[in-house]
Amino acid sequence: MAITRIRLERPPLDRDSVERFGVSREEPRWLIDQRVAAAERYLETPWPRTDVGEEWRRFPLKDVPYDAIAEDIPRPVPLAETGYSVSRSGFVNLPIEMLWNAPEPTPKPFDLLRSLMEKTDGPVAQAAIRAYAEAAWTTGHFVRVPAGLDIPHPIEVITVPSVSRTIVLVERGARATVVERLIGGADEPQLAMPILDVHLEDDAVLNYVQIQEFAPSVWILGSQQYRSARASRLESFNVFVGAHRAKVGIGSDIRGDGAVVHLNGLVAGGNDQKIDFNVFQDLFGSHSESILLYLAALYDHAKAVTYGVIRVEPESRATSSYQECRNMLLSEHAGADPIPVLEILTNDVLRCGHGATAGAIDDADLFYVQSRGLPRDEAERLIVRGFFERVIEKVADADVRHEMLRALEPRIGSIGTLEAA
Amino acid sequence: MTTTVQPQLPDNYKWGWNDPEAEGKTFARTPKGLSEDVVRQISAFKSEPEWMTKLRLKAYRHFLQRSLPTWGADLSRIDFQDIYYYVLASDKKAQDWNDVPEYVKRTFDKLGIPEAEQKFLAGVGAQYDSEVVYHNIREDLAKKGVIFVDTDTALKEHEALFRKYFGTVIPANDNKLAALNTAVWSGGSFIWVPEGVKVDIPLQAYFRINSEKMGQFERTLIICEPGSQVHYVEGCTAPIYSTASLHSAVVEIIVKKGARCRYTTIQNWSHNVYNLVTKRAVAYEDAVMEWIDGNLGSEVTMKYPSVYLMGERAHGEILSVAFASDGQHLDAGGKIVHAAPNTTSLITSKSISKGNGRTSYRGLVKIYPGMRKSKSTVRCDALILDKTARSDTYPYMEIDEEDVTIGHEATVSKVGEEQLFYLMSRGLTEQEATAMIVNGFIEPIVKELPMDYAIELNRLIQLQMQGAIG
Repeated sequence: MAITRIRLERPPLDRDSVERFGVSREEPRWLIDQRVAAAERYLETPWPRTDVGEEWRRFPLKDVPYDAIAEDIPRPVPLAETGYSVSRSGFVNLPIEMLWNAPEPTPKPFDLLRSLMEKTDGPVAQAAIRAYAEAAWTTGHFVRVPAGLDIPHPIEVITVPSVSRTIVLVERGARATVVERLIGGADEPQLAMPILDVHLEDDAVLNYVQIQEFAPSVWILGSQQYRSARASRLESFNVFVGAHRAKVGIGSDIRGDGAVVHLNGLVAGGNDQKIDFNVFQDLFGSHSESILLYLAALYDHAKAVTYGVIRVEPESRATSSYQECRNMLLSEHAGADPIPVLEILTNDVLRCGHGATAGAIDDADLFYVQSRGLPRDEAERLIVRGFFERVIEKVADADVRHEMLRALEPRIGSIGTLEAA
Repeated sequence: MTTTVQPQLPDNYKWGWNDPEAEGKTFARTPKGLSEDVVRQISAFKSEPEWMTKLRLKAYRHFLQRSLPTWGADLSRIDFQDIYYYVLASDKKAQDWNDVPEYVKRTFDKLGIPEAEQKFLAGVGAQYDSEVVYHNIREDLAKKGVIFVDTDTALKEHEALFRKYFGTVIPANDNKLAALNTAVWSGGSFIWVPEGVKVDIPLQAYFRINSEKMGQFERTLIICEPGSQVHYVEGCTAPIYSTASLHSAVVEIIVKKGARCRYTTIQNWSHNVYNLVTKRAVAYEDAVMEWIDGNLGSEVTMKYPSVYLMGERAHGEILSVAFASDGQHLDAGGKIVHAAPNTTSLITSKSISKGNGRTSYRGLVKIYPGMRKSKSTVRCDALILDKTARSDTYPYMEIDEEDVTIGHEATVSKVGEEQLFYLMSRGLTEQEATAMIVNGFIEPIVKELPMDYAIELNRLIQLQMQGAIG
């Protein structure tokens, strides 16, 4: 008997089931109220359309498997076995739901978490996705680096395909490196909605590295929001290798003077992947800096879309901003749409600009490397590695660099012996 | 009809004025607003063949169905029923300058046409209130077989040629404004350059809007046969009105194998005109198409000259300058479509915004799969003169072929304190120093213009800098 599937236009959601879900998880009342408020907001927010605005124009929205939203119901695991940690200093690295199940002496910074989870701003193009995720998230993760603390080792977060929230707070003057790995996925099409919120307080320093290696069945509708306070410094890296279709909206909001934001991306696309980012760099304050550097190596029928907007607000002063998007097309069927938009509402800018390129490997480069005795495919691998090296070398931690390359190599290949030499 | 010049007009605004006597001399026009009847009337006034009447009506119905673009400038204030769609200034066409009515001449005198003509004008297609009233084809052009007439004459005298190409580059259903233009078009230039003929002097036409709420819907069609060459120069200056006026032209250009065409515009409509123009060229094998587009006037401009590269080794180039001061939003740019292998293109945009003016560069480079070895470079520079000014850059790129080289770069800057200090220490006032920096900024475009246009552009920028316009 044939099964008739009803085509969904957007993920279905209603207020009551959201409330029941929260209650069934024994969540605190404020969190259930937050979910319900988000559900109400979701119902009022139009779902993205390809014919409204530029952000969604190039994404195959009509094919999104809305009926296959990945849900990972977390199993209770003894805290000792998770590798996650809490400490008396106030450092937290925990699945959110463990905050109220964790044994003492876990500090329970509910008020802190609550105020962070109340911030619902993010890329406008992803408003409906955020609202859905805030109402219906099943997995969540909270990292807090307390004021003044310098954590030398990378903090690891694992996210599986699900509707998930990752919240990172780096308090005043603290320093940390967070590596979030997006892994897993079923054989059937699945829809994941990973939502990231980063809060940097004054003078905080964060390296955030996301390594996305979802299974080739997964669709991603994601959102990342970075909030930078005075003199904070953010290096963000999105390393995208996995998933079938990915659409991620990234927002960077600089409110404080002298904040520095570097948004880096490495996209290694193959098969018929489509990796689509929309980025909004918003500059307030004086002497702030926002630099985007997205590099894509595209094989087979892969396609990368990078739609970026820099907006220099009228009240800002002496800001520097730049967008650079380079696409290396390694197959005749690969494609790239780099679209860097500038909106500048003041003349008080130190520097603002953008550069975008798309094309095959430069013949002269290839000739040069081959003339050193390398066969063509090896020469090509070397050039792609060199192309990505610009971003990889910005990561200070050798283990994290190694992780990034391990994820990239199935696609861009290894330069093996060459590297050893 | 009576119209009074706004009393607050600055005295030194030389290029925008109404000729009060001319206002009374308009001989024929359709009622205000647009309807099927008006479209039929326009066609009847011109004694057009039936196929054109039908085409106009079809375009009008399409116009009704389409909506205005939701991106770009705010067009919600345009009232299409508050516009005259056809005004005829004179019922006969002048064969030489002496036959041109006196009041029309006065208007042109202020524009400097006679001097320009003495120098190196090839022919003057001067559009006055929707209708070309003066046309002079130099003898050697006629000898070479070049056709340079107003578009209405072309329809009468070269109907077969006209019908073969009209609406082939920009069909009536291309967009709402192209549909509008197809329904109500009047005037414009028609140029046909025979195979192998090189026209070595720029062909020029001046357009003017001279009645209140008078829209202009000229239609220009240029056909360059294989191996031919032509440079067409379109200049616009317009008087100031009390209510918004609409200018919505369509320009279609066909550049055949090995031919070369350059189209230059200096647009200086008064600051209440909506200037919404569709310009497109197709370039075949080894052909070269260049758009040089200067936008200084108008309240709102939306104009993106485009080149479709349809044959191997075709080359397209767009040079665009925009200068927006108070109250202006100039949304300009260009579009290049690579639809053949080995094609190359270059877009250079320079925009300046002043006061609360806003310039936007909006462009598209599209490369279809299989268009190997295509190359495209887009370069946008913006200069923001005041804290309240705004500059946007929207460069769309759609690359579906690997074996290509595509680059885009943009910079935005303000006039540097050090640059100003240096120039002022040499004795210039701040205004002179700023003007000098602005002139240097647009130099790459100015040097591509014919001499008298370069001078005019520099003069217009001076006026913008002094705040004498707007």
